[in-house]
Amino acid sequence: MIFPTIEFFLFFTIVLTLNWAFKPWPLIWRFFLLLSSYYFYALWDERFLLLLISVTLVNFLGALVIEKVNYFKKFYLFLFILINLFCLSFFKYYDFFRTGAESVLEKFGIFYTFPLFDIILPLGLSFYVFRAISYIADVYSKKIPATKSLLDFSIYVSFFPQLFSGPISRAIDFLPQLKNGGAKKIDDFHKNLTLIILGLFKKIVISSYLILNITDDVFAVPENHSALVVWLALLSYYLVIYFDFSGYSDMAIGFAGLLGFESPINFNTPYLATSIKDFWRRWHITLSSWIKDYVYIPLGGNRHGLIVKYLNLTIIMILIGLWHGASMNYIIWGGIQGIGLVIFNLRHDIEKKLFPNKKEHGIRDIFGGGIQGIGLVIFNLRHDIEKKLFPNKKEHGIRDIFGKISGWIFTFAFILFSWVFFKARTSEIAITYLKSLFDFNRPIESFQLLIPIYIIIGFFLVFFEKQIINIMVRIKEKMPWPILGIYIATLLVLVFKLSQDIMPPFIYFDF
Amino acid sequence: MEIINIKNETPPIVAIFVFIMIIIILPFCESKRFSLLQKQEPNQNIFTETILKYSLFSESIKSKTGLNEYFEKEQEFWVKIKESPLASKGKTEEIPIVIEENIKTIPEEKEETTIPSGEKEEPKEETVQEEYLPIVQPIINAINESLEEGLNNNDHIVKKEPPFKILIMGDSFMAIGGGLGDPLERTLLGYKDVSVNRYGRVSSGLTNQNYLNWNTTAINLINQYTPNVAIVIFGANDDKGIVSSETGKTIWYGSPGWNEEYAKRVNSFIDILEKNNITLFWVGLPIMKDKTFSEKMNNLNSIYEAEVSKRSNAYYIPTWDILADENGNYATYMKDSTGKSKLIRTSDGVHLQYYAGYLISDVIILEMQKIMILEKE
Repeated sequence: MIFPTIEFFLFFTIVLTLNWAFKPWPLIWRFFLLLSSYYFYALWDERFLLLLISVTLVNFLGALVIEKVNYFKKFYLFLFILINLFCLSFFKYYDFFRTGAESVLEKFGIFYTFPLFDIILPLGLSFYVFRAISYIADVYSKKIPATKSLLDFSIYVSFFPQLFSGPISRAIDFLPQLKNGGAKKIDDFHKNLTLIILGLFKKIVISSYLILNITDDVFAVPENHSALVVWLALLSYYLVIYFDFSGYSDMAIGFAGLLGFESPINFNTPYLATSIKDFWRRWHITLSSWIKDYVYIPLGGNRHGLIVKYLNLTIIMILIGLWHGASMNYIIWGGIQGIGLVIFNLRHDIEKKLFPNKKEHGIRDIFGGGIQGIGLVIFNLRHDIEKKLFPNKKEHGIRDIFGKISGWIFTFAFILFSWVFFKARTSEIAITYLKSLFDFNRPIESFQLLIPIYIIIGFFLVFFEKQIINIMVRIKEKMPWPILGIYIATLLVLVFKLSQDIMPPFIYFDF
Repeated sequence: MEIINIKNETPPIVAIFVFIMIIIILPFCESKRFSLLQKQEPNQNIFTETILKYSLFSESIKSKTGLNEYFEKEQEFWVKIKESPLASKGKTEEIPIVIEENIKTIPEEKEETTIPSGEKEEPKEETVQEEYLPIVQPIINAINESLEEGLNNNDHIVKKEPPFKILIMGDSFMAIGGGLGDPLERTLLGYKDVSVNRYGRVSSGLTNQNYLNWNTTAINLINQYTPNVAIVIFGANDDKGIVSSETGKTIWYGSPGWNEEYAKRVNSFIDILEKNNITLFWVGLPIMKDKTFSEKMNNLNSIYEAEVSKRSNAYYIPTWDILADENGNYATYMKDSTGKSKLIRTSDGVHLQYYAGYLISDVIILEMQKIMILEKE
């Protein structure tokens, strides 16, 4: 059972009602939350409930041990992190590492076959294991005390709105929300409702349509499609990957919000980013901040000179790539992101050295100018015009705007093309895909007119997402609640009517 | 611009009211679709069953109050919106479909594709592909033998000549993620004078025509692509109730008459291809992990094989043994030509990993080469 289904709405209505009904009895309420989360998970696959409970127990005890012992604290921390990582690696990466290890051994003349298992990836494993690791690491660094309540910790690990696909909340934020029966009323009710509707629209209308009608087919065999269709598929995937995942996050935040829980933000209009660094501050925020806090900073971050910093950046981006799955395409994609970040930082660091006192960095201006018209002549021309237009301004308006626009264009292009390596199953297919983008010799191919229409709607949503949410919130606020009920139900009917009969699984369920 | 956060502290009763409205209004308005979708749902639980019951109840209210006509029209309106027109330069006219007792057949086709056949003076020698993986070779040999037996009566066979416009159709096996569709498409593209179009839809099959009617779909695809060869696979979603073409009643899988009724569906689908002179290759289902399910699929395979063998321009390609282990049991891994174990099945025990998809694609092509001139580019 997943969010964008009517049976989930039925399930949620019952949980919502009982959640608030049990609030006067905090213990019953918390038990109820845990049981509904376990039931939700078991509906998907009851076999892995035991794994979820085991991960919970191990980490609950792990945190208590780490807190209690006075010696070998670090040893215990590593031990419990290793247990978590082993669990994750076994289910997620076993076959990838098995084939890799066998190939390496073969090079040394050793022919060994590792045991073969029929492995199923338990849904949400990457997300709840990461939640658990963040908890024991925070206990180790004394950011939070180890909780004495197994019940509270179990709810934190398995809370059903965030169970399958995040956001990866932190115990420091989540556990206090369980104290004294939690919230008494619903904060941001209209925003939460809006997020649910918008998330549904992103997933079941736009993303599902584009996945079924263009992206999956074209990315599988790009050489069988005309350049125009390959371009449309690329633009579609740019939207699909964002709408699919952010749509899920929106719904998760919305449903949790209606139960009285505040969730961390996972996407902050990432496609409006004007640099790669900016993009990674806005995309899948809970994962990138997790990697930053628990990998990048412990590795030394930017405290040990520039080379270590660049190395760390590359490592964390490859890890982010690998987090998505045991496949070379994700590693390559992570590597590309790492190189992008290193280049951005390198430029930034050189600028800092060259122009230590400048607030606005020279190279960025040249880059900005370069893309506007390529070359310093145009840059100077622009500069002169700016001087005329803004004679008294020290920081010039046009330069800032153009700098941002050129930054956005560069970031857009970088992210757009890097998705090719993410989506294509192998790097060979990715290269074929890039070639197919410019192979104009293939015969014209028909495509459904709704594809470009949805792309246009999608980009509109990408640019004006916050404004659209605000407008929708304002409309709802003014409604008396009987009308609000009918209004929301009608909106949902419209969204479902526009949806496809078949809903492709959420992309991030595989990660 | 920040999203406005108004700490309005709404009483929970409002949210509960809104959600009760949703679960009353939404399934009522979408009752027809939900009742169909819930029947397709593989994991039935109390919630899916409740929605199904409520949807069916809504349907009965609609028909009692005479609202069903309005809702039918309304649904058609949305289907039209979603059935996006093609941005195409040469879209052919649609062939009118005559519906007869739940089985759709077509009258004379307006556009028929012809396959160049007996006009060639000398039939070319079959090109034997040397580079097939050794692991498939025994299977290929077995297939060759069985095929040769069938061809003995037909020694003077004239191979069909290119160009070939191949249409791949099927359920999730042919959709992305099923593991066969795209490896097959890619492999076929490596041959001379071959163009390929593929249409795979998950959860589809020949039993539930309300969910996706493959006869209508095939007609539309034939109109659009004018193929002369088709490769199809069905069955993984077909172990369900089927509406009898005679009585209109549902016959459940395993009940008497089910096989006969299903064979009619298979035949009506093959009819469409035959009337359009399309050479058909029907790919049999591979062995499955779940034993009961596997037996069902085996039964379906025997229906396909029997029905296809009655036709002159259709060929059945078994895949059962290709993915089974040496004892004929289900296998998750298979050793490749270098002796390394490769994952061949997905964790659902039904679909294929790409390695297996390429393996089966190679076998399909070898079968096609028995009657078609397929040469590598």
